[in-house]
Amino acid sequence: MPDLLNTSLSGLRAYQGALTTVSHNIANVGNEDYTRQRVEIDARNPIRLGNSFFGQGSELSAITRVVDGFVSSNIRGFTSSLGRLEAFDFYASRVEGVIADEQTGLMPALDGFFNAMNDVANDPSANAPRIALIGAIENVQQRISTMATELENIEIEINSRINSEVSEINAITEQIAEINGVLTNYTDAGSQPSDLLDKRDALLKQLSEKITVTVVEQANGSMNVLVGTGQLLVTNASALTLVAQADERESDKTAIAILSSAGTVNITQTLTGGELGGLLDFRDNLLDETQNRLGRTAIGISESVNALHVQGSDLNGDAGTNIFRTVSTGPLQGQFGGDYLNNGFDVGETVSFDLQFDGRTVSPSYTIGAGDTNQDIANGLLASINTDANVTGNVLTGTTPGLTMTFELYGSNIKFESVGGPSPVDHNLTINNISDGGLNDAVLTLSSLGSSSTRFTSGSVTNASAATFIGPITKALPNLGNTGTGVVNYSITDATALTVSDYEVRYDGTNHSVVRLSDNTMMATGAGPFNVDGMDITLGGASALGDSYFIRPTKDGATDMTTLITDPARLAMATPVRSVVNTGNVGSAEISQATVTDPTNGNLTHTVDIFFNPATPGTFDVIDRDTVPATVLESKTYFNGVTVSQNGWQIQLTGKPVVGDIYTVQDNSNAVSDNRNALALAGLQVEGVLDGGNSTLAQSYSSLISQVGVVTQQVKINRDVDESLLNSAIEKRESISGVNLDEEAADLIRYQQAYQALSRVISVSQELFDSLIRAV
Amino acid sequence: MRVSTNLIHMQGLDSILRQQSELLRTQEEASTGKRVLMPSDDPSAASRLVDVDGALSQLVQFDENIGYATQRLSAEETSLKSSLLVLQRVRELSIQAANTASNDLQNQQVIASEMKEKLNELFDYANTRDENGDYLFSGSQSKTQAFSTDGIGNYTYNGDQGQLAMRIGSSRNVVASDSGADIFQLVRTGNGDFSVDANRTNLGIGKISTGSVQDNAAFQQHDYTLRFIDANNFEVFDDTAGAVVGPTPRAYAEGGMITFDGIELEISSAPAAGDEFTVKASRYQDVFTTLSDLVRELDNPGTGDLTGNFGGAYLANNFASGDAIGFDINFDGQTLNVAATAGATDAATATNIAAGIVAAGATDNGDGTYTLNGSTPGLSVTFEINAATNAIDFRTSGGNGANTSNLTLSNLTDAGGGDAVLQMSPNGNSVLSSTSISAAAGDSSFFVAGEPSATFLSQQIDNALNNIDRAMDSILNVQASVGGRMNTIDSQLADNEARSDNLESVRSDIVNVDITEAISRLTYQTTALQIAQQTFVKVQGLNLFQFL
Repeated sequence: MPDLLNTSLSGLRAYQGALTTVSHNIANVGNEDYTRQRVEIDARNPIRLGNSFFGQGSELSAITRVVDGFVSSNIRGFTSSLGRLEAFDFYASRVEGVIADEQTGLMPALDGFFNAMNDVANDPSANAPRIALIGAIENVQQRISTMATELENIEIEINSRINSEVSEINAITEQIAEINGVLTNYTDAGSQPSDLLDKRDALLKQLSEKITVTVVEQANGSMNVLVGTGQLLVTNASALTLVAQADERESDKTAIAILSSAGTVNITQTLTGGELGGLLDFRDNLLDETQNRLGRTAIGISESVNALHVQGSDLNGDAGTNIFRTVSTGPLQGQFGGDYLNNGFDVGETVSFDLQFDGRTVSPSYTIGAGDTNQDIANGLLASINTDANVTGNVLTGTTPGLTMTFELYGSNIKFESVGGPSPVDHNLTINNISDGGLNDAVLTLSSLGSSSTRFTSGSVTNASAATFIGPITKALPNLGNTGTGVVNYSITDATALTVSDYEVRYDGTNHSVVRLSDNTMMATGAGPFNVDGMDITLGGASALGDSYFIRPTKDGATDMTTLITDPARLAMATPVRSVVNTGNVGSAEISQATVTDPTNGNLTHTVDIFFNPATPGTFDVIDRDTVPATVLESKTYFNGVTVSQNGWQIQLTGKPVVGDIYTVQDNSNAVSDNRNALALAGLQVEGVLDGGNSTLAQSYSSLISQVGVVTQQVKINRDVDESLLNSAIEKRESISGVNLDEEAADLIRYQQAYQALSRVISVSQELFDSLIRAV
Repeated sequence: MRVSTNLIHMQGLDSILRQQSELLRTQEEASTGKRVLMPSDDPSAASRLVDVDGALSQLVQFDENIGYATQRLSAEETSLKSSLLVLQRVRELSIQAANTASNDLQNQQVIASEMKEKLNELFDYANTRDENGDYLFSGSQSKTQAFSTDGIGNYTYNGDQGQLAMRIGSSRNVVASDSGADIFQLVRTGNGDFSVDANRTNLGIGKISTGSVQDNAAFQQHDYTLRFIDANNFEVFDDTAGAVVGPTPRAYAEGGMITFDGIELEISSAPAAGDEFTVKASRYQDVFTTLSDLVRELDNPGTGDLTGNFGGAYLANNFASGDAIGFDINFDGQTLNVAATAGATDAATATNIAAGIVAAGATDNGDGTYTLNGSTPGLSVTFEINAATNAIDFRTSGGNGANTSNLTLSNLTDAGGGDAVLQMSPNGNSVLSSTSISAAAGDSSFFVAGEPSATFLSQQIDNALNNIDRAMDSILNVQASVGGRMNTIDSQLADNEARSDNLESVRSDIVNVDITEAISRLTYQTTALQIAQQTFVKVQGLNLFQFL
């Protein structure tokens, strides 16, 4: 017999549960990850009495989550994508700010440099424009260095953020695994704790903010999480750990590996999306490229400015030396010597010192005679170098096969240049043990020459101090997984041919091959050495099969840039030679201004006469007057427009000479107002010095700006698109799973009314019982 | 569609935030006036902006360079103009001198003294300094004085032939200086191809004309001497080749053209036998030397080398064989006490006197000549026995050419009869105070440089006029070139300005925001934001719970 009271009570219990659920929904109205819950109220099984079935009231059969799994996975996808773009955008905007600022970008500094150069050209003998030019030179270097440092800071920050992202991911995956473990206790679908599922969904969403994941729901109620190309991160109740470690290929970069029982596997290349993906993407594409481009611009500036500056002569009449130093490489090259007679080389003293290079020690010595000039001393020292057993004809043979060093007179200095060898890198030239048999006050002055990258530890050598010329550091980064002993070196030989790409040298057991990574093109293969895109690449040691070496030729160009000249008088704005018409000439031929073709020619500033020898009419002799005896360098037939190239200069003769006429090319001493070299340097502004001569320095920089701009713009656009996609997915989710207070209010009223009605039924049953009692 | 309470809230808030960010962007654009704030706003515009800004900065610099170049060229032009005026005046003075009677020494000297002033003025212009104290005309050696002089007519150029070029356009340099060498020093002599002159000792009154080159192919740039064998015949000797040119002898006819080796010239009036004229390929001679030479000729006509002889017919003049003879030669502060023994023949006496001259301190040059150096550096007298006459020939040389020092013979002694007489005779334009000295009288006589012949002076003035014309040509050429460069600068300035205007407008198109549009956008966005905010509040207020 059905029981009115029991029936009502069952209803009361059901609606109490329903009201609790409503209040739970309302309580979680501010919880974004909350999925609204619905109660399902079913009729209880009826009781059969005779032919009739009597209802037994109601019961709360289930509390369900109103959820659409597809929408959740959509949200995760868009969250990953947006996370990537936001991280990328955050840093790209910073890079943009570094390189494109109107005040602090490179352009104002570069323009300022050329303008200052013009000002010096306008008034080459004045000091003020020269001081301003020194300032402008330093400004160019400082701008580039500051930008490079900013970029480096970003790089460091990225690497450290990768570290923290990895630990956050690990924390999240652990929690997911834990929840998986709890949920497997409630294998019955539909009976799983709704709020725990919400929590797991929230964790999955957090995870997809960090990285793109694939989620696979298991029969046992747990969710497996996969990253990259299918690496399992969470399996049931266990999670694998990600670790941040040095990249095998580029050891200064942080890579991400998955730690499993089998060891660590680098999965950096497979990771996409999320903040982590955005960081990797930004670092490996935009940041690297920006650093490479900025570095290349710095190398371009250094090389092109230096190349012209060393062709000039300064206010003291000395040959120009390098203005900038950067990574751009070349041989070990420099000079030592100086103004001996004013540097403690006294008459009667025997001066000696040691030159150490590649396992050899050469000890030149020279006794200063009365009346010796600086030139005599330089001659004497060079002659003494030549008496060494390992030196033949000015060439010192190193202990490394093929490695030599050539010494040569350069004014009163001795210049040197290393050649060849499998690895000219790390081969330095040390000068020490100088003694002069007198007061020991002899000093040798050191300076760099030619290549932008030879450094020296000190500008002078004294009895108490040594100095070392340090060659370019150009070792390619060996892969951390290399098993062989190979060493790969590279040096930049032609800045105009440089690309902004990175390179890899790979060994397949037989041949080394050089691969340009920007377009994955094999540039050269064989036993080496190679010349690829303006770089010489030399191989040493023994590579093992599968070994590889990474070359990033331009990256450090900007970071390593320094200036070498601070004295305004050392700015070489003049051309070291001039041409002169002898006033006794009868003929009316003219001689062009001399141009310098080889600034390092030791005889550049010798006085050379072009003499129309009466003994051989129609021809002229080119006579070097500064050799003893005078040397006839060449005899040439005259024609209108004939050019003469000797001793590193070139001139042209036009017009009608007469026998006996003399034209002279000589040291351009005293020419304080000669601005020819300044003009040539100012002309660099519009000259193509990069990309095989197609880009000016400014163009190279503006292409960097546009490159960064395009990428950043693209990212911003995509970010906006993704943001709206994510929003619409969230709308969808909200419309399905979100709590609507009005709806809850209505439910509240509905359930409350049901509850009140049932209460009334109970009171009716009470009355029924009472009336029965009374009737009894 | 079902909406959740959260969604209503989120959307309202999103809309407000979006409006705010757009408003902020517009505000930034309006307040900076720029459309492109970051490269990502418009990458191609940003990169074009870099190019345009670079080009604009260059143009500003070019204009600055133009300022420098103009300043320098103007300074140069001023100096050139003044120099031309000086030369113009010198030219007038020369013509005036040419028209002055040759014996009017005082008048000549007045002209010479003004000319000397002008020479100094020109010298100062050539040494013009700029505001930094740099010399304008010493080529690249601007700290070195362009021209210097030793005070006795020698001028030296200390600079070089360097020129200062300046960049005034992206592909245009302008030369903003000219060297003193090109303006004042490397001036060709004569007519530019060759120069002519008459020998100072010519006896006739023939003058050689400036002449010209008629046949360039035949012109050899050689030096020639035209020698008159007699008054009606002459020969042309090529000094460079060392050979006689063409028909010889050539008949002289006054006013007739003389042609050889492509050269055409004439000799006027009446040359005398033995007269010589020179034709030399043009050489470089600085304008100061030209003027200084002319001043010297005018100022001190008694110029040129002393030439003459003494002795000769000794026996006839009581140099008795075996007599000890002595006499003194005074020259420019130096004295030779010559002692000799008269010989049996005139030739022997001459030899003895020559030996006496050497013994007295003259230098034996080893070629039969003996030289006595004067006190003035470079001034000397050279003696030589004339084999034909047995007289002792002498010739002074050097110094500044103004050999005002006399050669005096005195204190003739004769240990024999004391009756010896030394005969003397001048050559060229030298004059003698008396033709002999005698031991008995104890007198002295001196040779002094005479005035050049009127013909010679006139020839010198003609030659100087030619040289002055060449110097003026040289300055005019440079002046024309400076003018041309100024024109180049002007046209480049206009070019630069046009380019600059163009670039400015391109720049404005690239970067500048349309301010009207931006303001109206700002207004619109402000309204939109207000609406979003009000809507948010309204919608939030709607809730069923309010009615419970």
